[in-house]
Amino acid sequence: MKDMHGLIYTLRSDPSLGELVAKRNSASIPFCGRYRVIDFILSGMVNAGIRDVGVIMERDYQSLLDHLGNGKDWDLARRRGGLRLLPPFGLPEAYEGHFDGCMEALKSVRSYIEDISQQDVVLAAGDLVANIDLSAVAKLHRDSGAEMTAVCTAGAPDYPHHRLVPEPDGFARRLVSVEEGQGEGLVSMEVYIIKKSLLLELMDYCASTGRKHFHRDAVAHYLAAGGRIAVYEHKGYARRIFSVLDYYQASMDMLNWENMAELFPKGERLVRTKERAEVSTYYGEEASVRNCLVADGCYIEGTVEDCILFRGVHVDKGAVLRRCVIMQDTAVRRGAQLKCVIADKDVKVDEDVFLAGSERLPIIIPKGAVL
Amino acid sequence: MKKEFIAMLLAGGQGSRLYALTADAAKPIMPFGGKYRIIDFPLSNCANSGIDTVGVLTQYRPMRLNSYIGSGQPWDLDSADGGVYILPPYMSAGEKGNWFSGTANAIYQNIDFVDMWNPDYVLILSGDHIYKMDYAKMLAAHKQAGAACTIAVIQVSMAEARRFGIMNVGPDGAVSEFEEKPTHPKSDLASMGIYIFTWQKLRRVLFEDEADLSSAKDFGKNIIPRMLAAGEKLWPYRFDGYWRDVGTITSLWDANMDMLSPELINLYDPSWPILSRSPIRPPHLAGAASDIRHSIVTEGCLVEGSVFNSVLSSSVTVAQGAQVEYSVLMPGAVVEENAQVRFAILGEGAHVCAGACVGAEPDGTEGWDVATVGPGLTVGAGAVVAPGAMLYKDVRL
Repeated sequence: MKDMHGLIYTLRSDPSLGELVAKRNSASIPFCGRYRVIDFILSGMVNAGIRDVGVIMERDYQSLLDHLGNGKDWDLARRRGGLRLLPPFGLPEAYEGHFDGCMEALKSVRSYIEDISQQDVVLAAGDLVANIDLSAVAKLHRDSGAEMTAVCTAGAPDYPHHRLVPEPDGFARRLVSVEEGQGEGLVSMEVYIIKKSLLLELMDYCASTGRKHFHRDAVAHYLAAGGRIAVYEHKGYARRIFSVLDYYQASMDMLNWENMAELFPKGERLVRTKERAEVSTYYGEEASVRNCLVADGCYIEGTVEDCILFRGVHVDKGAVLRRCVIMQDTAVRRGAQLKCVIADKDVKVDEDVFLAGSERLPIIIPKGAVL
Repeated sequence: MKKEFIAMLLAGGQGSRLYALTADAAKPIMPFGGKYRIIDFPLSNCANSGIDTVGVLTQYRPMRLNSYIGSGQPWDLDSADGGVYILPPYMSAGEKGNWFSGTANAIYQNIDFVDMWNPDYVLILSGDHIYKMDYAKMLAAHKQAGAACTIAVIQVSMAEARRFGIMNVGPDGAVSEFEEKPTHPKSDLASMGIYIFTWQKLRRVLFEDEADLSSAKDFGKNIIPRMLAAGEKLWPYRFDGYWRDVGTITSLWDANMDMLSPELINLYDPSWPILSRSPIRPPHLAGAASDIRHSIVTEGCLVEGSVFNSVLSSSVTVAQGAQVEYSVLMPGAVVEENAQVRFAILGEGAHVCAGACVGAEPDGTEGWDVATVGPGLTVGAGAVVAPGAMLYKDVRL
């Protein structure tokens, strides 16, 4: 798939992600014990044989830079091509630290897009948790002769989204936004394969008319002008991360082995992430761990149920964790009890601290906090 | 390019006393302690000691070892000036090439490689020891003593001393005598098979030893005695940390069990990380009915049964109702429903089918030992593998 070019946009961190995005972009939120959200789409591209990927960054991208580095862990540290990080540059004075929409972000990297040598671009949002078989999407794109192919999924997410309504010939000619009613068509996952020339045309249209959004402006314009979009239905687990509740529920989804199996199909489409020197996880003599997802490097001596433990988490004897997400290198001391808590990286929870959130309102402990 | 100090890692041995486990790949690549391969220990020690140039001498079934080491990137040994070099036996113009006939011969055949770096000192390491050691401290001792050779030694019990090469130390603190596996040991200082040589001195002795047709061309048996006889200063470097040779099934199993005791060797110490090349796997899942205690579990595992006092490498499956106790499960091993694995080693990809039983607790009888299932083998449903057994082929009920 050297004939496609990947382009990932990591736009505004939705304020409803609260403390989780205080110091990072939503694409770099730690997820599922050892990953960042962006790992899924980036690995998907690499697994489809894509060798050139640009990542458009907006604000608070320091953690994303740190995570992606030169792309080595995704096999994208290449002499020719490979990973290109595209932070904001050469922006108009009106730029206030964030882009209003995908088309505005693309405009900021127009010269990069013009230089793309491939005919097709895989354009994707960086905040999607899904393991998409992009080879199959590319095949559909080629075989159907479409200029644009959308990856969609069934279901009715409760966040604002756009739907494409495929007709019997497999093409969608109509876009439905969530305000227009639920249920019809398939949900766009904001992963598209699009002809580079068409993308540039749509960018021109948006730039000349002052429009900023991909779906409601660019896609709507394309369809109104008689365009058609091939629709690929992704059957496996898929969820975008917009809010703390999305994040928490997606995390808890990972405790269901079927979801895990869809996200990490055995022996294929591996999800890559930044490697870290780590030892295996140690379970103490009194450890009691049930229904948990545990990364390497943890040291568990307490009781942990229905939790996600990231790399290097310490749980002392007598500590009790239930329905929590505990990020990298956080330590929970003896006698502490946490329920429905999302503890960010490097948190210290001292002895006998008691903290309980609820399923609908998990408590977030910010990065580096000492309780 | 000039380097003060380089390492030569002997990784060509078969490890024949590990039988079925090393039938397909050299011993240094053997999975160990969950996340690791044996060779991760010396390679990480080099990286942590600031050694950036390492030659790895390979011979026996090197394919997987070569691909594991690769560019050396996991150990930060992929540097532009230095790095890790795989050194297999090779052919030379006008003469027949030779296999490495002994540890010293392996270095002899790679004198050109060492000379390329023009080092002052050369560290000789084995690829089959489990320990954490700062070679920079050992080099400082070597320089301070002004020795031709410094030998790392560890104190063992007098009873054990018969199994080792023993260093007898004179009143000046230098090594006065070396005895290989003595019946009546005079000292309890055992050689760990880790040497620092002043390169020009070793170089000369390697040529001398090579010319001696009766020599076994071995560091312990030939080079050390030859240097002693020549009146060179040999200095013992006492090491008091954890160190194990994992050359046999029992010692491999024992050392794996030691990893469950962080007070013996702390692998969780961020100042001295043991680095490895990891497969790409998601976190491990401890299922709703799992019971995991006093064990090590690695990414990619799926545990739904009970696991006590055991070491699980990556991508091991322990199904519901299965019991794993005091065992070492290498990458990809599968223990199906209600199977029992006790005091056993399961090789990579070994498959224990439902209701089968591998190994048993020690019952004091003669001949009891750890049971071993070779890599990729299947123990059929309901089949029984006796304690001490060494499986080379599938067993069915």
